[in-house]
Amino acid sequence: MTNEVIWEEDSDGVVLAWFFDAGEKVNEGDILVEVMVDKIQYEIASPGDGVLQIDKVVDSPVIKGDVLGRLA
Amino acid sequence: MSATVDAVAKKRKLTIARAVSEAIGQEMADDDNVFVMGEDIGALGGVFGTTQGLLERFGPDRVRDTPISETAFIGAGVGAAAVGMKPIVELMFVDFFGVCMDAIYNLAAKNAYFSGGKQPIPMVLMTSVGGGYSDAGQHSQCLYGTFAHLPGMKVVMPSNAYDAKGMMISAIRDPNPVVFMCHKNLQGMGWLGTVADAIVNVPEEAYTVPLGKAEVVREGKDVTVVGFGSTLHMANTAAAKLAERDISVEVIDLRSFVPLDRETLIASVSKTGRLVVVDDDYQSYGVSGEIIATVTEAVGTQLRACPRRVTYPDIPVPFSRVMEQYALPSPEKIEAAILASLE
Repeated sequence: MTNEVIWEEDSDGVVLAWFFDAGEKVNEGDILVEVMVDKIQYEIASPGDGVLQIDKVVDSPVIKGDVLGRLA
Repeated sequence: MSATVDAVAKKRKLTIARAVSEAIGQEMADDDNVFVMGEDIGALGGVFGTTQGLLERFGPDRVRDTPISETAFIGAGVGAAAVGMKPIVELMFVDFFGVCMDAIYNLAAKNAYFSGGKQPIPMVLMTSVGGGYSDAGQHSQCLYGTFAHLPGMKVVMPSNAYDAKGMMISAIRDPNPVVFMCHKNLQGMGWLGTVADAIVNVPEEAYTVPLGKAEVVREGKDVTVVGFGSTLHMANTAAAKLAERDISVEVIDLRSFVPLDRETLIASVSKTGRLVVVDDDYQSYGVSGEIIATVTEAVGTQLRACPRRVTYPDIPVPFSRVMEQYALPSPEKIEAAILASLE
């Protein structure tokens, strides 16, 4: 199950903070990560339950469609 | 996956802003007398995010956006507290205290004394402090010393989200007026940059962290370094670097200017014999001087080196990025001060 970034603009974003560590169990609805695009912050909630794997660490630049992390 | 309750509480991290908002929300749910007032604290959730989500949960009567009129709404907060409510009033930038200081230091701070204890002012004045992001002379100040100097109010500043939630709950429950300072570098605003170590695991349930207690966050024996808020993290960075050279640095997170935990400071310097204070407020006549005086009065003859401080110079904060960055305390300046005290 992947957790994709969804936003309107085509601009670059950056990963600000992960609120869980890799390897931790998360539940659907938990706020996992914060991403900033054009000075606006977006919270990304978990789409389901599982063990978190992180693809884009803090300070990674991201663009629309990037996979930030996965649930195992 | 089974449906049994996890024996270990789930770990989740929060930014300081979220932790503060969560603390306020839990106390508001528990006590109808608690309410929040300030500029942009409602619909926007606070310019630094400290009241996010509260308006949706509690409505506009208890989460009140105000006009740009500190004189009015901070005075109103004092009045509300005087008749038994528990207001949390946000002074958006500490720099704005000038227009409402009478209500803070003459009314809120002194009323319990003037009334023989009969009319305490249990108000929390929440405010954001600090610079380093080119916001210039009127939006970048710290002013810990300015508030700490005046009797009658507690003045505190957490360095991480765990302390922030516990200290905010303590502040709301405290019958004294509490000036609750949040350092802008730590709150969690993306456009400003946030120190990662401020984002830590925060329990979901309500809990308290006592006001007036410093914490030894790193044990050591060669020198004591005292920091708070943003400078605490700089001190940790410097200490980690110097550990590679076998220099053992004890780092204290002050957490509270008033009450000042003199015991912890004196005990630490009794052990190490050396003191470096890191204070991003103006150098003279402030917190760094008070800490050095406190320690010197108690154990001055036992010191192995003169106390040192890494502070902000006595100048209005420059707008020029180069000039501002030059003026700020930094891990490198702290390292240099530690090494100098070890000579």
